[in-house]
Amino acid sequence: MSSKCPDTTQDQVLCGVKIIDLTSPAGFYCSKLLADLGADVIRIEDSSTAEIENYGPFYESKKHIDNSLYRWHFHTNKRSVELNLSSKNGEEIFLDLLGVADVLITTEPESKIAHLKIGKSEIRAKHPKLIHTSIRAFSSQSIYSKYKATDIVALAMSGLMAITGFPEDPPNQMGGEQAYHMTSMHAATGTLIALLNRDFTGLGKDVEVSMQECTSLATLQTANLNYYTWQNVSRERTGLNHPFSVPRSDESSSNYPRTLYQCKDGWVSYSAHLAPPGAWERFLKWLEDHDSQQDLMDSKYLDPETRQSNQTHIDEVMANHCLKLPAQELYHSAQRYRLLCVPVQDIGDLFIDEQLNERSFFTRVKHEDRSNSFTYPGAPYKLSETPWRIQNSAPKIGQHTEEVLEEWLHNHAGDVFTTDA
Amino acid sequence: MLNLPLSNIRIADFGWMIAGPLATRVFANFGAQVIRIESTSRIDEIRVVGAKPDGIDSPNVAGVFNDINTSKLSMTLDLNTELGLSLAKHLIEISDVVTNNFRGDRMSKWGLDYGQLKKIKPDIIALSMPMMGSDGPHQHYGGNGINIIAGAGISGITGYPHRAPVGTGSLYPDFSGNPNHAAIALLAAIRYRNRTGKGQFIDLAQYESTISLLGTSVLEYTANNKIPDRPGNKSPNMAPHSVYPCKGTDRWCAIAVSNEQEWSNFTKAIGKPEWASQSKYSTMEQRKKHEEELDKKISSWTSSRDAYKIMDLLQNHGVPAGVVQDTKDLLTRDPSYTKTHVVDMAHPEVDSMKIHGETISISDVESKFDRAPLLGEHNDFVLGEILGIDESKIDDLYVSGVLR
Repeated sequence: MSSKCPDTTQDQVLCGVKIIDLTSPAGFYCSKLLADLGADVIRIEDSSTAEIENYGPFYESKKHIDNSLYRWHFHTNKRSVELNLSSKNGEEIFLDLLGVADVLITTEPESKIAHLKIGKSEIRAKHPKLIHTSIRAFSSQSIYSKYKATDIVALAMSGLMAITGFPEDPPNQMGGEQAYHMTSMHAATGTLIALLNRDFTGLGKDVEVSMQECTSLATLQTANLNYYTWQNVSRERTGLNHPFSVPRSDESSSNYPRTLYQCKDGWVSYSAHLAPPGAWERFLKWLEDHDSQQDLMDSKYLDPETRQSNQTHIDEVMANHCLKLPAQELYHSAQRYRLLCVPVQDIGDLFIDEQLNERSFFTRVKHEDRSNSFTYPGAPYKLSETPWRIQNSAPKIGQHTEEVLEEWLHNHAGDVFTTDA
Repeated sequence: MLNLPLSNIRIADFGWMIAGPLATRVFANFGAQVIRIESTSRIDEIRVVGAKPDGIDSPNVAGVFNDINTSKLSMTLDLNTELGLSLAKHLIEISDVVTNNFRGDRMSKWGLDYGQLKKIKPDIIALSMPMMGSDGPHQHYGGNGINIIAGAGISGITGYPHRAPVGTGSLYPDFSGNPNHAAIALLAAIRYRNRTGKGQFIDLAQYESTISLLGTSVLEYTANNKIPDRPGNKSPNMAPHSVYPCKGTDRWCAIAVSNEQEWSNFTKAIGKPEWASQSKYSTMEQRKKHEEELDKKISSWTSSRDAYKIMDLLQNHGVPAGVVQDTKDLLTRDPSYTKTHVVDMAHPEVDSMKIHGETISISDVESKFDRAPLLGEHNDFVLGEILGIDESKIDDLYVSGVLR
């Protein structure tokens, strides 16, 4: 296991970790997370990739794999090696690469390694140091282990979709393919645990996560399993109402039921629930500042039970207050009173956000092939000693074949790379 | 003693509510000693809100709390006393990691900001995860998952274009990017510390961490100058792609056809092979163009059929499909889910409690998976076994009132 780092990743935490990425979209974010922390991630691709993974949207709406914004976003810092795994030569090179890799990441049940002559247990026996992270639709122990899932299917089967949307509409898929993201993050976590473990034991592990289970974790509050166990309740879609407030049986649903209020120019989210102590008094001051308090200054409302039984009225007062003002003004004035209010923002809003700009969140990425730069989302975390970084834009298919074979196998590409590979 | 991969790690966990504690859950499950520093005078609200058994008034039984704090220890400590603070510092001195998700300057008020922590333990790894991060003009702003999902742009791309930005029905960021990104950063920092002897500070702004989950939306704006709209259940890359009404009340089955092979299989599965040869459905582009009409036809086929039977039929033809399951379905109709994921957790104060199992499985490693701690359950253990304080001195500490 060589751990020589290229200069560009030397200050990064996963510098020198060699990863083979054979994932489909459920795993793209997993290998991106590791690549952006400095790991050397190679995607094994072939001529079918351009057809199968030609995911939109596309740059300037021109449908071509090199314009796939999906590829741009998820394959930052990765390298592409063109290898036909169904050819004998391709399989041999792949097995050689496995011999020097630290981590293999695949997505099941349709993993490309299923077509190899060598099986999972043989890989394990032959490469005891290799960590194999397998991202599955459903657990390998599940009766659904052979079933396939895309993002929407996993959201459906996990329980998350049943609580997303308005009760009068069909259930909604959350934006941005969140089942894929959830699963990828758990897979990256498992991979890193196995890597730490290997540092001590010298032995690799098989790591497994499933989309159904990882996504399901996001239901554990709103649709906690015990609502059913203890109260025989299955949580449903609540629309704009706080998930705690319908059906309600506990004190956490006090004050006002809604989470989203329409304002003069859009929407704000407001969390009266779980607010710090004294929130009611500060809420009143906030209303007063804008002359929105109506009768809420009446001392009877100091009693939480009175507030509880007048939820609808308080909600109306709040709704009228919000309608009077623009989202940004509500946001900053509420936060001054330590009230939990944040505007519903679109992507454009994020680019004029003072906080994000001050912290230089977004990052410019140079696309060598276009002699142009584009702005990408920045670091999900800032590590003070080992920076997160996007060094390279997504590769073209096969862009790094020779380079990687040379570096990983210390071979001249011409020697091993034949036409059927 | 189980041979767990993180058993040489100790975490002093000042996290509260959801995102902080959920970040260290996986560490505890894989053997790290995660010590929750709590207080009885200001009980972590997640101990008392949400799903609770009827008629039990206790800070130990809430469903969410028990879900996100498995395998941890709990110690109660009054950090607003000098003695309490010095015990906390003592614990930090022998910990590898210190975590918190307070906003603003809570930790520095106790003298526990990274600069101070480093003085106590030079190679400490400190994670701080306030909503807005550790600097910037809005660093003191607060919010929870419901607010972050709105601010970070996920609500804006969820739901239907003609409807309000409904959000996610879950305090999603509290369960997703924020704890998961935090765990990833911590593991990376631990590996770096193991190799170099250097600790570091992890500044995780929950707002930024959630923006990182927007997929291509940012590039659609920066490269194509387009602000993505709410797509309903449509996908730019798949058709048919939605949830379809099935027999019964509020029953739905998700179907996602992602390539031509799946399309051909789909038409055969539902007994409409002739659709495959119609030019208006012959390619993904064509199906996208006629999506509304196609969705109507599919709905009329699904609406008289059982959701689970549709799923099985389509999956047996190699087409991704899945029932929109609610909690009751998960616990009563999906035997795999209850077998592989749900844990019946024994608890001293409740007869039955169901907890989400550890999502990560590692070969030849059993995750630990003990029940979440009762409030202050491990005071004696932490003071005696971990800090090595004499029994008689521990008694004095109880009397002094610092352990609350």
